[in-house]
Amino acid sequence: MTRATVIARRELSSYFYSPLAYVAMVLFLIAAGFSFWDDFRPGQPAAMRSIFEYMVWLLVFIVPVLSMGLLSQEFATGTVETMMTAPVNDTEVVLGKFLGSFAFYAVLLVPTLLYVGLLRVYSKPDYGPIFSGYVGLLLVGALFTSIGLFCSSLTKSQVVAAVSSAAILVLVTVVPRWASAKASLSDFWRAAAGQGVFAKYTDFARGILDLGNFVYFLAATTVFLFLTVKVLEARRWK
Amino acid sequence: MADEKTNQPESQKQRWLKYGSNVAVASIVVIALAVLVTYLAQSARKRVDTTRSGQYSLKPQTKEIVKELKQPIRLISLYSAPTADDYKARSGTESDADRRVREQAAEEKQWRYEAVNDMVQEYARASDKIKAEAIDPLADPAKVDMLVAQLTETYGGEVKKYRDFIDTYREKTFPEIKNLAAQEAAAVAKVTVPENSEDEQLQAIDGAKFTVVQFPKVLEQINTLIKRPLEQKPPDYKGAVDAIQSGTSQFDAFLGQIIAAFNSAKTSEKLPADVKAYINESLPRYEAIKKLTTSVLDQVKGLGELKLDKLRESLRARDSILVLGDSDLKVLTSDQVWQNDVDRQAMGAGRQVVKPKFAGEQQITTAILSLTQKPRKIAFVRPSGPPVAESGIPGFQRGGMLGAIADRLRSYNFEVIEKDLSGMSAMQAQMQGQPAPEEPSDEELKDAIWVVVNLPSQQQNPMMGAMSPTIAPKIMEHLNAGGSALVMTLPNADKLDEAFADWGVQMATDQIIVHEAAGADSVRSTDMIEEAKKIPYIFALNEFGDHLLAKPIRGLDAIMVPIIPVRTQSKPGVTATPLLPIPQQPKAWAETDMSSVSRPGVTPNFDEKTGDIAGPLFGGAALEREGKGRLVVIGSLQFATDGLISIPDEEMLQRGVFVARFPANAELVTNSIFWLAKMEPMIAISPAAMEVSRIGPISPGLLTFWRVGVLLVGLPALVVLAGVGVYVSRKN
Repeated sequence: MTRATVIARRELSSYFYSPLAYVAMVLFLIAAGFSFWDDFRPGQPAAMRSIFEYMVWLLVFIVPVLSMGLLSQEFATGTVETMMTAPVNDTEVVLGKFLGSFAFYAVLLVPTLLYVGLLRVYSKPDYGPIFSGYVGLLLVGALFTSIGLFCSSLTKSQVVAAVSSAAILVLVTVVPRWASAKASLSDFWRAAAGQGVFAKYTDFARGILDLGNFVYFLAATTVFLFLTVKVLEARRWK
Repeated sequence: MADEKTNQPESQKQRWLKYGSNVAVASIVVIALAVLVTYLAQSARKRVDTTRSGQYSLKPQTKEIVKELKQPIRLISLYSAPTADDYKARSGTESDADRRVREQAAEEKQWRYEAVNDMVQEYARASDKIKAEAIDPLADPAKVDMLVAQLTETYGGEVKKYRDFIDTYREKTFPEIKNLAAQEAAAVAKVTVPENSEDEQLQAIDGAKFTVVQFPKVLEQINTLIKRPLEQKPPDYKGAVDAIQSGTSQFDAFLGQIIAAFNSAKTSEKLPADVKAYINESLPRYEAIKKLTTSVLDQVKGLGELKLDKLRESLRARDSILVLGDSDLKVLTSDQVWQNDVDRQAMGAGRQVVKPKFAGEQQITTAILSLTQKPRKIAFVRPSGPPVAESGIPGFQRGGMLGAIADRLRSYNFEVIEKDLSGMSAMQAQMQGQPAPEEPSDEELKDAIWVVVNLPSQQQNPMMGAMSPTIAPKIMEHLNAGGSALVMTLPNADKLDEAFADWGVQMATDQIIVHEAAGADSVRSTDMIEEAKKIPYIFALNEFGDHLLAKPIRGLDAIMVPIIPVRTQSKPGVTATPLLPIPQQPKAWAETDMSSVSRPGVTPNFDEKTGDIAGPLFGGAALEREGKGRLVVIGSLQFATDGLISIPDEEMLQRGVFVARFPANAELVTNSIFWLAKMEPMIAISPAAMEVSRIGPISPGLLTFWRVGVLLVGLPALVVLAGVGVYVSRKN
């Protein structure tokens, strides 16, 4: 586990050295600021539910950008060979990369705590839904990061990694949301659409911590991390 | 040789097969495990509601109720989210204030939409038997069409009955009535009845003739009223049947009066011979027509409810919730689910004053119970006098004095019946030549919860006065048989000591609780409570005791006009809890000189020598007897009448919002009934005001500073600065 932490720390610091991460952060903060604009008005309910929901749509495009280089850059530059020969196994590599990227994602969310501060100054917000909203965002971020990491492990090209992970995120987030609004959907497909990311995240934004939703995100994240490990292992025996 | 064979390196294909299949199997296993674990976690339905008001959780009492469900229930929210039009300015010259009102209304609409949809989903989570969905009629009209088609198939059986009845009526019965009526109109027109006669019978015959001549016109009007609902798309069969019923009832009543007049006049010597001959000859024909109309009315009664009509109403009404059972459905309107309450502190501070009370949980649970359980009976029993629980028709017919309370109980799925226990009403009706009112038998009253309206003798029947018999023995019989009752009384009514002997409770109807009049000479206030303080026998209460039925309404305002003391004493096997503690500031006591209370210009004074009793005093009690039922006694009756329950809050009324000024008046009665019916969960899930904290005032300049200066520019700029800083430090 120590080796994974070392890799995580290295990965996190590499984000701060990369201009791309700052660009992603600025874009995220501007978009989030715009979405909070409407909520932060005198007379509006002191809640962050709509901005929490809006942030998920942002993350569908931001996280692939943040995670595209995690492994594909290693493949492109050839440093993956060094990594393979290092006294660290594939699982630790994947975990380290994931934790580093996830930690940066968490840093991305930190400035949004200012919104909470503003609500606190001008009203008496209900902190329960705010807390659960952030928990939900962290879980969504973990899942999105693991998908981004998986896509990054499949290709040398960062662009391909970003596009493919964005496509998967759209498939698991936007499509079920769109489908569930259709009148002609059968019960089976309606239930399937109910397993989409947005449906599982909504409870967090409302203030509900549901064990099923927790496990959903943790299990899906684990699956993608597992698949990433297998992709890395395959390089040895391919 | 053997060594060569075993040392041969694996080919790529072999490696792919071996390691690839391992990976595939492992991946499938991991995915399957993940799905299984997720499924188990979701099935466990463990959740924590972190909201301050617990608005996304059903109360434990509701969960207990829905867990026990045997039949499937479907909940459909038909709330609409705000559309782009709701956010659009109404005109180019919209003022800031109008814009804020519009935006607040759209925000409120969104909030209600989410609250109801969330609540409905909670029910589905709480029980396997409940399925929930949300259909926005504005956004998803296709879904609404599918819903209507599904429901027509499930509940549409009665549509055929209604349609067949209407077809038969229009094609056969109505033409027959119309023909016969037209014939009589023609025949009676030829009969000469002396006009302007002073003889009552002749006047009656003249009136009958005039009515019969109008028959064709009346029937044509009825026909027009029936046609209109049928021309709607889809046809309003219920409306058409209602039109048939009301038109035919009116016609039937005319016929009844004509037949009565003819029967009374046919042997009269004063009638001209031709009139007499016409009467004798035509009576059987009038009776035949009446038979037809009576048969139509009987058929209408037998049609039953048209459930699809409720669906039509719910789709027409904005924002409703459908609760669908196996064979019936309930519609919960927006008014039932969102009840207004007033935040008096905010009113004083000039802020938003209307707090919406979300009664969704109580209303949905009641609807579910009504679909899955037999309705409980509530019997309003009285010693005499007119019915008290009838619903009125606003503007046309006055209801009973407790009509509003009775309607509220009906909305909670209670079957409301009423009876004059003394039988005096039936006798009086007979004396006046009117049909006796339909009343339940004693057998039907046995399993009902009684609401005893204890009126003093003079009020029951001013003519009969002290001859009105006491109903105490019947109440005692009901209670001893394990029945439950809510007793509400006026001063000077029967004390019902015989009924309460084994319960240890006494209603001191020969006393009235009064208080010192505070500020009687001061300037008239606009607040009813301030004015109430000046009148000795009016009490404004907001504390009702420690009993389960009283706690949820603590803090709500009630008015008691007047109230008598109710005392309890210890009795073996009886648990008694006092209700309605009378505040001792200003000083209050039980006054024995009742006449001093209502005499103008006379202020009652506490005088121990005349038997006045000092506090503490209570205006009610809740009692439970081992092996028997429950009893609630309230030393007031006026508080539950339509007049006091419906008093609006004047300030809110001026703003166009109806809010009851004394909401606890009705809640006290309904909570008492729930407790008597052992429906404690319904008390526990009373609607709660949903506190929504809102952002306070911010000046436009400061708002722009925060929004633009900090959120859009400041924060991102800080990030850029941080990046630059990292770059520079790395370079150095």
